[in-house]
Amino acid sequence: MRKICGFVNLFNSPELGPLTEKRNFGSVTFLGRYGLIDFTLSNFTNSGINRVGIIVNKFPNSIRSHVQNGSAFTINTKTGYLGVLYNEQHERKDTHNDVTTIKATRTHYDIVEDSDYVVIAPAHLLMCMDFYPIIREHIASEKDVTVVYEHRFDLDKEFKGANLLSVGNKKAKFLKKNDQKEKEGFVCLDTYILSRHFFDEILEEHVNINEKYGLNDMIKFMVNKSKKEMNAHEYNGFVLPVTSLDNYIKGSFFLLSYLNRIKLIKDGWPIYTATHNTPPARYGPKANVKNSFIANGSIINGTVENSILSREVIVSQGASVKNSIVFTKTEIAKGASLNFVLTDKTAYIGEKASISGTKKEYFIIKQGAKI
Amino acid sequence: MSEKVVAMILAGGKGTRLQSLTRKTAKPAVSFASKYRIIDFPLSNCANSDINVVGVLIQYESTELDTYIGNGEKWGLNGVRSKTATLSPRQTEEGSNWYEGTADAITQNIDFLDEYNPQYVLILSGDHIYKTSFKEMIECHENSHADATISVIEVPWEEASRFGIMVCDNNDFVKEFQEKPKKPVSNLASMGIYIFNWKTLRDYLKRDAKKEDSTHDFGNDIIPTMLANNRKLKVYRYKGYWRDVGTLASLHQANMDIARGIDGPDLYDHRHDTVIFTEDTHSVPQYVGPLGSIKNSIANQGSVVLGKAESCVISSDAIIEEYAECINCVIMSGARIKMHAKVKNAIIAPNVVVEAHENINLEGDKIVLVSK
Repeated sequence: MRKICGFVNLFNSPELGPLTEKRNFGSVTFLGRYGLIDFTLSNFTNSGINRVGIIVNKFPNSIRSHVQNGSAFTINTKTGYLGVLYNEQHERKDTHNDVTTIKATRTHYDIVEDSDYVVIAPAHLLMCMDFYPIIREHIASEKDVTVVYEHRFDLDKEFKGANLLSVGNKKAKFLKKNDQKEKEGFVCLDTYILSRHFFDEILEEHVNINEKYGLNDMIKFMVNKSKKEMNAHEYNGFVLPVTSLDNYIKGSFFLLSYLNRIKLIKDGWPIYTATHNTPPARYGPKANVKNSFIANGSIINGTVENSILSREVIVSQGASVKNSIVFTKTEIAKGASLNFVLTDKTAYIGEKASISGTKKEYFIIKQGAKI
Repeated sequence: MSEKVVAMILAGGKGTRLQSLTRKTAKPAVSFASKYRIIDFPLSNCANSDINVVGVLIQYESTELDTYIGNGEKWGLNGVRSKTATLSPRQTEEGSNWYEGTADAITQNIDFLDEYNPQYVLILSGDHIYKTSFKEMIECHENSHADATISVIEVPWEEASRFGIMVCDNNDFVKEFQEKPKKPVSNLASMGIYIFNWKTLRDYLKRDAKKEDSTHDFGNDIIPTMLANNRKLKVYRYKGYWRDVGTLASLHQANMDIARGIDGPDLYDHRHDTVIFTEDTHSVPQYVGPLGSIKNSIANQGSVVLGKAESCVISSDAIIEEYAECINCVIMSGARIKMHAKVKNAIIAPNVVVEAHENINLEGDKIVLVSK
């Protein structure tokens, strides 16, 4: 039996404007219920990978408070392990990257232990990916690295700056980064299977090659240096790239539709998340709710349309929330209205306040703001 | 280590009046208010009263209930100084016995209680819906220097003959206990919630066990015997919402109380020691569709409302399809109300499918159970 461990790499996560000003990308609320990191963590759990590390670039506390002791994500809470890797000492240095973070934290030994293969996956590409067949393919290929890619036709609009690949005969080489000049191409999904010796080599060689190199750069460098080829695995499933605040909003509303939602949230592939002691959502006598996600603990007595409400949101009588995303514990007082608005946690929208953005430019209300 | 109070929750009964809801499920494990199970209420009340050791007496269909209770983690009763034990009948050196009555269930677990050697034992029922702290009742018991305190609730006089009634003196000490009296002289009904001094109760249980004509029941045997022996029994007057959900109608009504938010325990008080704790499933977010309508209702995550729900309690993974209508319904997990179906005044059991265009109980006021 080959042993496998996994890492969620948050170093490639994009900024989501005010949403990531004070928290990590991975802990940003999604669909009113999840943290963005839950999708990748669930892929590991559902693929039977029980020892997982989260490589955190910044705001480690927001990740720690989301995953807690890991028991919500771990198959067996004794044999399994969910560790948070963070490197305080490099925080402000130009060598603060995923490789130095792995190296600096003893935790990574607990995760890697005697694993034969290491899976690395990002948090910002939401997918329903079973790693198991990819690992089997990797073993059969006898290569050091398997890179997972997608054949896309919208690279002029999406995946700016992502690594492009040339692929032929199930082998891949790195090309330039996506400058969005071409529509079609093979884009690297920042998802790798590494044989253990290659993973160890990366950690050992890092200091000699360039400490500013991140994991992607190191893989690229070492593959090129040794003139080895990477095994290429084409991912044919659905990918929702959360690469900007715009994409985050667009993606959220895209998933409101059932036919879209089942591309990402599938039967038999549960998305695990932190558990809460919230009561069920309550709909009052004046509730008027259409095409919306409502999370537990919310109390709705106004109008909610085409919107996504997180836990414990209050929509008072006569208030109206349309085309909006509302984070946890926000209160919308009587007669207030929101249209094309994103409010961060614990905001208070006072009586009869009327706030609207546009479909192109959402009005963002910061955490704890009182309006 | 000795504990001041150990709680024992009686959760072994079958609950036949809930019909097929309890065919494969013990009554305390029956779904309630879309996210909860009935036993979450007494267990959360214990946690919120700083009671650290809880024994749950299980017998009928014990596996599901036992698995649900586990080590008490859902109620935080698995901390360093706390303990949750599910106590089912067991084989011992003396042989093997089922629990023959409420008192017998405790008698058979005297060893468990002895281990914690509590000053007081709090006896609770696993099928009551209420939200309380037992701290006040414990204080009342301590101050009264009674041998036992019985929690009572005022019931309407016309209903008093359905209950076990406590007749008291001016200081709220029990003079007489009347089981379902034809002509009640008091309207203080016993809630089946007792605090006993453990040493005294232990004596009475041992003696009761030897009586051949005893039903080994707290209400029938232990309390009357203590009264006959002139033991001091205090009543504690409970104020607030409390329901025994032993019948379909009472289970439905208690659910409706919460859905309509007019009566019932406040589940939306977020202070840490007033929360009713329960399991949080890994369901998808709940969704209300473009044609959906939901009013005066509560719904748990994972539920989908594409049709109309009015005064409903909707559990996770339950679906009301487009153009379907549910009024005054308790819809348990995984149930599916298909297109154009109409259901009124009903409890829809878990995983039941109501077929398209089916009409159920539209004219009836009596609560019906829709089950497989």
